[in-house]
Amino acid sequence: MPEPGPLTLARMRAIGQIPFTAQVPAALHLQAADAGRRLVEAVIPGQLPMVMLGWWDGVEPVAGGDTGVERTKTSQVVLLTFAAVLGACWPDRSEHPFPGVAAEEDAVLAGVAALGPITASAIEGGAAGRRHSKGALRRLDDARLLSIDGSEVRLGPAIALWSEEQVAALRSVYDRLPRLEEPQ
Amino acid sequence: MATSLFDQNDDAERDAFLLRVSALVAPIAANAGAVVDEADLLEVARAVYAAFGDQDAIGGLTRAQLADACIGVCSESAFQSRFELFCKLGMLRPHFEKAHQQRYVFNPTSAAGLLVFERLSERGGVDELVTLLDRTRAALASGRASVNEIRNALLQARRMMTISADELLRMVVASPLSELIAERKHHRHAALMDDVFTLNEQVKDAFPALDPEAYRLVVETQRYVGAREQFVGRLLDEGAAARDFSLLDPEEYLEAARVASMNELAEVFANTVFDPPAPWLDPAVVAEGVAGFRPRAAIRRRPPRPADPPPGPDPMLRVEERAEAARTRRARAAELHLQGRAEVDLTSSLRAAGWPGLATILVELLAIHADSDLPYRVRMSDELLVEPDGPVTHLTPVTAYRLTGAAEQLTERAEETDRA
Repeated sequence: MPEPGPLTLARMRAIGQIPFTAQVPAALHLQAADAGRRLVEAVIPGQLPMVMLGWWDGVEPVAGGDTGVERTKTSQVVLLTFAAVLGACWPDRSEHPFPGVAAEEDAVLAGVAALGPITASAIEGGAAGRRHSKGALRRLDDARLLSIDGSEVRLGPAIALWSEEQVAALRSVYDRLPRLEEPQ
Repeated sequence: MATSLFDQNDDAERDAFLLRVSALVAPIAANAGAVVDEADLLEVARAVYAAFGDQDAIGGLTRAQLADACIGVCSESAFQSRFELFCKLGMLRPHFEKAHQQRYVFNPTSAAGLLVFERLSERGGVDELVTLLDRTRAALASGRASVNEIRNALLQARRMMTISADELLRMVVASPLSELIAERKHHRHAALMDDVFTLNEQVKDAFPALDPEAYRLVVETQRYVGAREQFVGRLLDEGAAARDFSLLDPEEYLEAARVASMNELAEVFANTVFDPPAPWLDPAVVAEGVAGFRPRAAIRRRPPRPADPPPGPDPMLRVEERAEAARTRRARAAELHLQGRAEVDLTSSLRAAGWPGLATILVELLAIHADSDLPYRVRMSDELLVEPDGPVTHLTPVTAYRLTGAAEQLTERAEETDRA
């Protein structure tokens, strides 16, 4: 594999990941560290392993609260759809959610629908809610938070970047994630 | 980068010169490698030319003498390969006076070629065009030119103008500043427009049939001059812009974008923190969102579909009834005018009605006339009564009459269709 130049890092930042089958060269680790990024390997079952760009501890830009940085809040539909995917694809709360299991897209959408109308303009018995959630799924797919494969949904490689402390925060709401049936 | 707008930049100019020479030779080159790619090799030809011109060269010069002349210019092997090339292409020709010593003479055509390349490095293609225009003007002035020669010259000149103008416009948009500066000196003909106008006048006097071609040349020249102004404008904009030392100025960005390699461009942000936008969904946010979600209490319901209205009266029936009522009204109005008589002259009553009363009555009468189902007609004569002081200044006598009997109605209809 040729010596990675700054172009490799730039490509990774643009596309989000590169598939790597061999060991990641040390030079690339150093380059990423210069920009505050850490290279993380992620393997989705059934696909080639890939390398994602994570953050070094303490470097990730934070927003909200008293940091003084304003970030656009995600819409309720996207957030709850993502929570439904988590609920469907994260079987064991004591483990890290990634890679999790695959779930049917319909099951996820039904989980969201079971919450009732989410937005102010939703009409009971209407089809708009389902369409809204489907659009949210596509958006999450683009952000690599999940990956859609045909009619199946899996958690995406961006989840692999979550640290243990972050996952702990999520474990507290594990039971309240939208699901179609009650968790065991 | 040149430090000031008008500094000479030798390397860039020499490269530009070689590109121009390649472009010059392109129409006759056998393959893409036909032109030298280093300007130094041209120096060899110049040194040989100088040797023939300076030394006492009657009877030609030997190879050894030429090698001596090129000592400071190139290496022995380079001289060898150039020498063979010159002989092969006919720049150096053998001179057979002395049997034992091979001597060479310089081909005058190659000398002309060297002069052309000299001129080319000083001034560019538009110069050739100006020369062509001068030659054409001189030929017209002396009366020696034929129609076809002048037509051909005008055509060549116009094509050259179009190409030069397009090239300048391309450079204004796409070229970095260094190329513009190198190109600047090839477009310095201040009197070009005047020359073309003079030529135009001469052509009009000598060959009026060629006036359209001469006019087209003028138009293209104006376009070229306009392109030249845009070109200079871009140079001046750059020179006049205030320089902010904390950023690169736009010319440098443009040059970098066109000239730098991908790795160099990727290097720029290698240490900067940035990412493509993504929804804000780190675990803390998701946990907060899920914990804080409350299902909605008040739900919108679709309003009930209204019942269909009961069937009403047929609308077409109402239209017909209205038409019938209008007809009855018109018939009554006609009877009112006729006052029981078969025919009545309405001129005086129209006059008495004044304006706009007359207009109302007249419209009503014409509507009655137009309804072919009613047995009333109106006749307007060809006279015109003019009364400047009266209530109505211009009036045509109008007569209304009733049609009696079906026969009269039929003849009426026949007359009307004949007139139509």
